[in-house]
Parts: sequence; C-alpha cells; structure tokens
Amino acid sequence: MAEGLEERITGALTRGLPGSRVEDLGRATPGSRVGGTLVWDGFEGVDQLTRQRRVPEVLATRLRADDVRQISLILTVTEDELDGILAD
Amino acid sequence: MQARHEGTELQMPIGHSVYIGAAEENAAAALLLHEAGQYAPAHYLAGVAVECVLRACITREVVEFDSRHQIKDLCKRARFYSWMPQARLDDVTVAMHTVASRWSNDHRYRSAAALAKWLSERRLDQKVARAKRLPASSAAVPSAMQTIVTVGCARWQKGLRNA
Repeated sequence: MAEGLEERITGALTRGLPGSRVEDLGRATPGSRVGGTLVWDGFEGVDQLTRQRRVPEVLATRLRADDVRQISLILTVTEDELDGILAD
Repeated sequence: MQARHEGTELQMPIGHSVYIGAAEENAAAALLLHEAGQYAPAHYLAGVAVECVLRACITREVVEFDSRHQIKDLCKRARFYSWMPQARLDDVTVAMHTVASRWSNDHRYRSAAALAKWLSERRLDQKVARAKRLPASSAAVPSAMQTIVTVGCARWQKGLRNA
C-alpha cells in the first residue's frame, strides 16, 4: 500500500535526523496544511530559527515539492523541552 | 452560535482549531519570509501567528470576537501566563514582551522603510547600526514568535487546552 503524506513526512524527518521522532502530525482543520512536533535531542543548544531552517532542508531533500507545499509548521523541541512544555 | 464582529453578525465563529491552524501556517510563512530577507512582512506575520495562539486560548471561554489587536490585552484576556507551564514561564514572558513591544496590526500597511522608522521612533535597537535594525528586529520577532507558538501549539496538540 502506498504511503500517505503523514507517513512520508515522518519517514523523511526520522531518516534525515536519526534518533528523532514525530508526534501529533495532522491537520488542525480539514483541508489545512499538516503540522506536528519533531522531538530530537540534536536540537539541544540550537536556537529556534536555526532549527526551523534545518527542518525544511531535510524535507526538501527527501520529499516531492507538492508534498512540501502541504506542510505548515513542524514544531522543534528536545525531549527535555517537551517534558517542560507538557508539565503542570 | 454567532460571533459579533464590530456590530455585524458573523455566520460562523472562528473556532480554536482554525486559530491553531492559522498560527502554524502564519508562523511557517513568517520564517520563510525572514529567510528570504522580506523583513517587513515576516515581522507582521510573526505577530499574527502569536495573535492566533492567543485567540485560540480566548475561545476556550468566550466566543465573541474582539476586533482589537493589542498583544498585551489579548494575552490578558487569554489568561495565557496562567496556562503556561512553570518551566517555560520566564522565556515565554520575555518572548511575549518582545513581540508586544515590536508588533502592531498596522504593520501590514508599512513598507520596510516605514517599519524601520517605526522601530527607530520607539528607540528599539539603538545599539545596533541603523542599517541593521530592521533585520535585527525581524530576527527577534520571529524567534520570540517561535517560542510562543511552539509552547502554545504543542500544549494544544497534546490536549492540554484547559490545563
């Protein structure tokens, strides 16, 4: 069975950034672009703008342009940051 | 259910999911524009992304649409800081101050030169060379926006809408 867009995005990110995982990939509303959260400890000590440069680079080299156009924002966090965000 | 917008009835209120989707899309667009050196629209859309996160929080309790766009007021109405996890409260507060002090809904009407003048009149980035003030501010606002959008949208995606 052919992979869907979300599987292709997950595969591109986890292969491009080994050790990463992708969570909550989906569309906020039907027809909107796909967003999600990329958790990777390789982001430790890297500022948000640099992280956000890295993600499109990985996606652009591993996905077709029409797939990339359907992606909105992939949030970029480390494991510790995610724990902090989800606390309380 | 109807929402009010400046005295006219909207047929459909904008729901929280629409605001979260718009926050993600505007944030992504702001980052692309910043990377392309399109600092004025990057500046503007970064603020819109933050506004969308705040408006998503407000819709937890209020459907009525408030057409005002002041970040500080929206933040208060959203009770945003009380929703933030303690571990991220300091950096989110700093990020929100950065956006609130450098963003205005009127930026959509400002050219890059007009935005640079606006920032200069507020005596922001006085230690930065004049020619570099707009790129510096453009980096500051999307960076701060990314902090707010990351924490806000991640908590939302994880179902912590009313935590």
